[in-house]
Amino acid sequence: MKIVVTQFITLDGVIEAPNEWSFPYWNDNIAKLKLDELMAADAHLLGRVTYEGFAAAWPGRTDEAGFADRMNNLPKYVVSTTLEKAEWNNSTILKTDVAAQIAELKKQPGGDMLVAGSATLVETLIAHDLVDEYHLLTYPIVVGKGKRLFKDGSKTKLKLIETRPFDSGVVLLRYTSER
Amino acid sequence: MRKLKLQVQMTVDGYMAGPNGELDFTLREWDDELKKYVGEITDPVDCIVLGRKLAQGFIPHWASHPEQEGASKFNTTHKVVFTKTLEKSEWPDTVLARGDLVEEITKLKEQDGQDIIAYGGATFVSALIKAGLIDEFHLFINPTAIGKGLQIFDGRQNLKLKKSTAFACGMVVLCYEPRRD
Repeated sequence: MKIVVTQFITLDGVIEAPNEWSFPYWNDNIAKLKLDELMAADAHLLGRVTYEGFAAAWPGRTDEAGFADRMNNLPKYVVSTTLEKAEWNNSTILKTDVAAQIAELKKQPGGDMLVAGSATLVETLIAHDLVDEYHLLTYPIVVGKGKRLFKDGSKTKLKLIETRPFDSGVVLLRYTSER
Repeated sequence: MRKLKLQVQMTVDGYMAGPNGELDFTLREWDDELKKYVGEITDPVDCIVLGRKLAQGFIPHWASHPEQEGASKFNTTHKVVFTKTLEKSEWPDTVLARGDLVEEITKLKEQDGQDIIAYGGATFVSALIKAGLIDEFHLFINPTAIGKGLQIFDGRQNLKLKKSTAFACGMVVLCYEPRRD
């Protein structure tokens, strides 16, 4: 499987609290992109905070497109040193030796392992060169502060593979890691 | 009114330079389409505004490298350098603006002429953005993240996407206008 980091991101590189700035730009085409992305995934890889948010929101939900079903059914790997139980359907906790465990997961056959949000986990993934692809939905907004996707001291070279603008002013920038 | 454009190199994570002004993230090889795009931005420009720090590096550099791509446009275009410290211009076809930024830029915009462009540096460009003086942003997004560096945006701002263009060399140019609603 390949690791795909997918983020809502501002022009100044912030990924924190997209609920505070991304909603006004949502449209059907972005929804379609998110659905396609989810359908191409065979697993979620999540940090504890994002996992808990998803686990509180998704169980029991359904929709015509099958987005919620897919969210609920896909295997979830949650990275946490403190979490004791992960009760959302099909969840596994990764507690120790996380980078090595993830490297093992990547060797399994399958599609994408999707990493949404999960700022701290992404930092670990970048530090261990485990990210294969980035989907950056770039919003036409500057927020000035908040957690950033790339942390101090990380210089990351990327290869542009696609850009796709949306009517609301959002642009998808798709990159792979340059190795 | 003349339009003030901004053309600036950026990283994927929103910086225009490293912590000490390093530009080592910028793509070395620009493809022909990107060069053509730059021409479309700069052809209708007849005035360059720049901060003192950038001027002291840029103006002598381009003057002594007339053979380099883009040098002749830069060398032959009228320049206005913003400074509080310099007393008089030491460069050809260059004047100093020593007054209030908003007043000086507004005065320039009200004069007859074609488009005005700003390239940097970080301090000067941040001040232009903060004062709402930029009419068109051309952000050249290089395919590299650097983790920390100099930012041009300060505080919250909404923009309107005009165009996004991807280039074979890996650059994406995002063109925005300010949202004044």
